[in-house]
Amino acid sequence: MKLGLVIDLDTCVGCHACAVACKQWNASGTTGPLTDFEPYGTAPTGVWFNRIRHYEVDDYPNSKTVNAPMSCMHCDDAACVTVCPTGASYKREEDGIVLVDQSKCMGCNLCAWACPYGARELDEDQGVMKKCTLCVDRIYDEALPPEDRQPACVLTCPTHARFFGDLDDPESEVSTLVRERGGEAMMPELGYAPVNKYLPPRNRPPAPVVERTAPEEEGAGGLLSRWLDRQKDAFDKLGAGRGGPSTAGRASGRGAGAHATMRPGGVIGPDGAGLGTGPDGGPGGSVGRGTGDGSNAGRGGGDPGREPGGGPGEGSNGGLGGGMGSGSHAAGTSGSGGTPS
Amino acid sequence: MNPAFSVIFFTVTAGAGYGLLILLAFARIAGLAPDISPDQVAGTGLLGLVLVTAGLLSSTLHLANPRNAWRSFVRFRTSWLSREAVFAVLFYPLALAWLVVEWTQGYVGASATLGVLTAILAVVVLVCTAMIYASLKTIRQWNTSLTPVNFVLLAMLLGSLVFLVVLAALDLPTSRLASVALVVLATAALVKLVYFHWIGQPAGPTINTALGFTRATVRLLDVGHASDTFHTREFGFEVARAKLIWTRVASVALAFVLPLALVAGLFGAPGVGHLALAATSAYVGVFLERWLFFAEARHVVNLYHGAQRT
Repeated sequence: MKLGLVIDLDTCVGCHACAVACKQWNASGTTGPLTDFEPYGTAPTGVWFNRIRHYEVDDYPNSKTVNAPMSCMHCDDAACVTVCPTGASYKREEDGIVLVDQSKCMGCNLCAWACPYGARELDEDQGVMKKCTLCVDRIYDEALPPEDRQPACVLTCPTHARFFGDLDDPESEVSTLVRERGGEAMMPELGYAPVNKYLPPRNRPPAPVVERTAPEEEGAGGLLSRWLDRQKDAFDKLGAGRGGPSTAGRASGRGAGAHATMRPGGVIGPDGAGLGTGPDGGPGGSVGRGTGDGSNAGRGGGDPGREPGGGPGEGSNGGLGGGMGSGSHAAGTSGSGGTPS
Repeated sequence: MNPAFSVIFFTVTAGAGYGLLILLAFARIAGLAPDISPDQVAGTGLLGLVLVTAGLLSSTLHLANPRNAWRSFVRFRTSWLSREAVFAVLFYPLALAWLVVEWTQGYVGASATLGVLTAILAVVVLVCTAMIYASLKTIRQWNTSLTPVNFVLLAMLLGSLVFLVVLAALDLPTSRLASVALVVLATAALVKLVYFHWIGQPAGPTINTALGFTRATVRLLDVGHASDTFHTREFGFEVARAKLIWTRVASVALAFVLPLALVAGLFGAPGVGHLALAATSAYVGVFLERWLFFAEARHVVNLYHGAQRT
């Protein structure tokens, strides 16, 4: 038997719930406590068996955020066990779980040096090395209902991105997932044969990119008439989008504009109109564009700030031009930078 | 890697002691130190054992739970740290037996045999210490056969210089040992320069292989912890590049160049003052070298913390 975890990098949202559940269970488990220093101070530090890091893979526009939860990989050829001088570190014959006998550890740190995955952390209060136990004090507990005999991290994962099982059994759920999804080990070139596997993000068709239409009458009419045209366009589209007509309060709120900056693509402007189809708020192209329309952004951002109960036209412009750049989030700064109207 | 003072002091000081005993045994067999009396041999040997003991005591300071240090003898079969502990303890009775035979002027055959065995065991302990580092595939700057070669050569370098000081202080001829010391100095310097060149070559895992995304760039967005962790303290040691380069220069100058010049007699015939300066300079230089050995080592956990390569 080769017990281990399979983690789906496609569905993991990086919420750290697994790390918190792990800390909660194991702080009072067989290897507890997991000492924390300054837990409520400015620089809390302590022992965690599970840590989640966040990465960006590939470059814009193909980039993807990947959240990588990492705990002990329970390697088949565990270097941490090989280097341990005291016999405190061992790998169980029966199920392959790598454990530390707390009563034998002398705290020399050599196993942590030998581990490429950062799975081992010294409890600096107790002077002994601690690590993921695969919740060995839980998965065999017959007092628990069978569906609860899983590691705490697996049970708690809200997106079901973690799977626990026997990777030696080719028909198990975890082995099937690894086979079908092309699961891979991390840093396999060091040769430690990690048991835990990671399922790569699924391939999806690329998101459609809407080209920006060429502005009509380039240069003619000047800034003011182009701005008026945009207000007219936006006004015409009111009600065609997702949202209904806005209340004056929302149109002026700082929060509304700041909220819009968090959502590239389907931006909901302060007026509540769906601006995703607008000339400026097209999907995929909205981030840089707001700042490109500098004067427009400044004006749009300035207007709601100056006149909190601004009409729907002005409000929508705030979302359109300045939505991605500064928007009404910077009602003061952006407004002062723009041309006062 | 975090350069822990206790470990640096241990490897350098115990290394000097083992080196002194290796050179003493070699000198007795090859006649490098003619006219040395049995008392002086035993005294020099005891000085070596004092250095070894000071180093070994310091090595226990980096243990977080030294009460369990006695357990470190049990995994001899797989662990280099365990082997180091076993051989370091076995070294004492053997070295003492040899020194007693030398001191009492027992059988020449017995003293030669015990001397050779003592020197071999000293080299074995040094290699075991070095292999603790060289066996770690997670730190590519250490995972090389240059590591044990460096450890043995630098120990012999310090040992030969300390032995020279002892001989000069006892008004004994030093010229034969000095020529051996020059060879050791030159060889050690050469191997260290090869090492500096070798660790400058790109190699080892990258952030791509660490995460399994080998066909695209990978960048860290967020490391997931708000303040220091055990790993950032232990593995995240960073020094400015300029400081590393200047430390390298100082280390090479103090450990090799100045002692070479002093022992070779560039500043006049090497008297006890010159040799003491050479030994002190070499000790400081090797101390800096050992600090660099840790400071320049980059653990692969740093890849998960955002380093592109080690």
